Amino acid sequence: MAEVRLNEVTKKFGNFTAVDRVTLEVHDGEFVVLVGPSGCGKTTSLRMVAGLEDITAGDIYIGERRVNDVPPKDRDIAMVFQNYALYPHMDVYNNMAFGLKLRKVPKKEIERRVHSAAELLGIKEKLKAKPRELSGGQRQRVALGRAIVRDPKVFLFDEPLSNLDAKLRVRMRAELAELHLRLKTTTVYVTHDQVEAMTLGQRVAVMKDGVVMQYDKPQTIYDRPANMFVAGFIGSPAMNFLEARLISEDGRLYVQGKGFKLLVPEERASDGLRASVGRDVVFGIRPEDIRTPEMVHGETAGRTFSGKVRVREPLGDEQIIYADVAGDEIVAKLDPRLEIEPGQDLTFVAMMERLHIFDKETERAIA
Amino acid sequence: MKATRILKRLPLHLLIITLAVIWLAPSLGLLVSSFRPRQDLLSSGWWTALVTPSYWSKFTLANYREVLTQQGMGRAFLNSFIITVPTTLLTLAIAALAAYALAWMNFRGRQFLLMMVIGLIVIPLQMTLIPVLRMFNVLKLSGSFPGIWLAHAGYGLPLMIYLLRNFFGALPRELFESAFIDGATPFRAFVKLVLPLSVPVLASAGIFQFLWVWNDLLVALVYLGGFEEVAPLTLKLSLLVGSRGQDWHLLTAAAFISMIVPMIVFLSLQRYFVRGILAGAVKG
Repeated sequence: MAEVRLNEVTKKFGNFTAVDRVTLEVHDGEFVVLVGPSGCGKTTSLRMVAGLEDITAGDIYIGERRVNDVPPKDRDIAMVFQNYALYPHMDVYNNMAFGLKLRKVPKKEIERRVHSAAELLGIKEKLKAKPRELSGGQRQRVALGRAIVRDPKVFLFDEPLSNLDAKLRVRMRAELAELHLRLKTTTVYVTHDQVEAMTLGQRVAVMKDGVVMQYDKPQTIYDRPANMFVAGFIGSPAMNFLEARLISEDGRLYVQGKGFKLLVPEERASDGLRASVGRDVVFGIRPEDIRTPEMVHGETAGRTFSGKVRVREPLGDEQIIYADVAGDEIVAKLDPRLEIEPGQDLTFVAMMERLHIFDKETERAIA
Repeated sequence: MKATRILKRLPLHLLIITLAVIWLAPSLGLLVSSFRPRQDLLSSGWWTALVTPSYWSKFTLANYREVLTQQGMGRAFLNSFIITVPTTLLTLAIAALAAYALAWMNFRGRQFLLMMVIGLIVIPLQMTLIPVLRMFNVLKLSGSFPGIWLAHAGYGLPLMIYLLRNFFGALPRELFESAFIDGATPFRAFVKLVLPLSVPVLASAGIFQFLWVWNDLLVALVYLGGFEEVAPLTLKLSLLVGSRGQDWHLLTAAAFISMIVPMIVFLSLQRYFVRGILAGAVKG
């Protein structure tokens, strides 16, 4: 096992910069997820760690060793691909044994490792089957097995679950988490799915346009997004953004915008926020932090605003309300048992202790 | 419902059957004639022999015996094999390695080399006959098996490389990347991945080359002409037409001998043939 370090790593394809000075540290045994929309450079970053892409600038370390010029086979890594990349003409056993045979591992040892990996992944009965005879989930397990038997220093996963159907994906996600608990191998995992990122990653790096926007624990990223991109990307439905202005009245701080004027709680009125009084900002609030008076115990003064309900999406355990607030749309996640009809005028309560304020120019979080 | 479908297809089927009959009739005539004694062959048509059951006992293998032993067709038959089999293997081996390099290895000038190979496909081989023959004469390669192996391989390679490269190029990139991470060298990946996965296209390329070389007269005539002991069937047959032009019983038998191998090869491997051509033409 080993840590992985990217230091100011850049990758250019011609004039296009796919990865821009990315610095990232993955601790020994840690599970790190790179997440972002397609084209954000997450897969390219992973492929550079694997040695499948040249590095334009910067350094990559695996353990103590700088691996910029080390070929993939000598980096002691194993990679699982989105389309599994199983060898179609070999049976499951040989698919898993291939890498070991190339490394001249003794036959007995190969047999032992393949069988124990097959046992671990529940594909013991399938060792003689060819990949085309397997279901998607089984293929993915074989691909995992191929990585496990090598006992590498680092696992690299490139969207390994995106070819599976929704139900199986959820199950394999849990299995991957369990596998990591057991093997404790350093893992870098690439996905565009924020749920996978949140559930699997001990730390998550959110990427956009080749740049790491934020690298932190999943809950921190959710609670304290560093900028509007991260705030909008993580969380579903996405955070509401409303243009607003910070004003100060009688020593109290308010966020005021079209159709609302909300009091900033004392504990959130930081110096940074106070310094931004009078400036144009973006007020962010997550759908679950918008409620109705019925759902709130206690004082609602200074926290309410009203809107007209446009669409209602009942989901059983919650309902999603799309409402119009002075021409802007907001999304709220409400108690499913509240009777709400489209067209209805509704009073909302904003949980202001959970507010987010972003600089309108830089889109960075102020609070 | 079913009847209308059959009716709809009837014209098409009639057309296909008619074409097949037109195509097959001469070959069938050739076959029947080759079993008839000389006098009969000259006095009545082959179809009369076919429709007269009482005649069937007169069919004989004597023509074949004479052609194979006294006219040297036996030796020529063997020569055809000695020419065709090594040529096919040599062409395939070189083409597969070249195609792999052109499809999957990164080196300077790869695109240029590929364009050259594709360009060579359109150069008529007739243009090369005189210069190559001159070179062969200097190198003492004319009239020898190695000479004709090289010549045929050279003529076959551009198309073979192109065909194989397209197929190899359509193999998923991740397979190679996975193999490289697993510890394979490019050559290992070629042997362990590319070759096993390309059996259909290799077979079809092999059949192509085999049939082309086996049926070739021009190249053999130019590089082996005048060397009786290395002459293949086609060359021998054309000599036979010249020297024994009246002896239909011998010519038909000889012609059928030269046809039999391509027929066997094609019929036994046609499954690969069709699949391989499609695989090369349509990506994936």
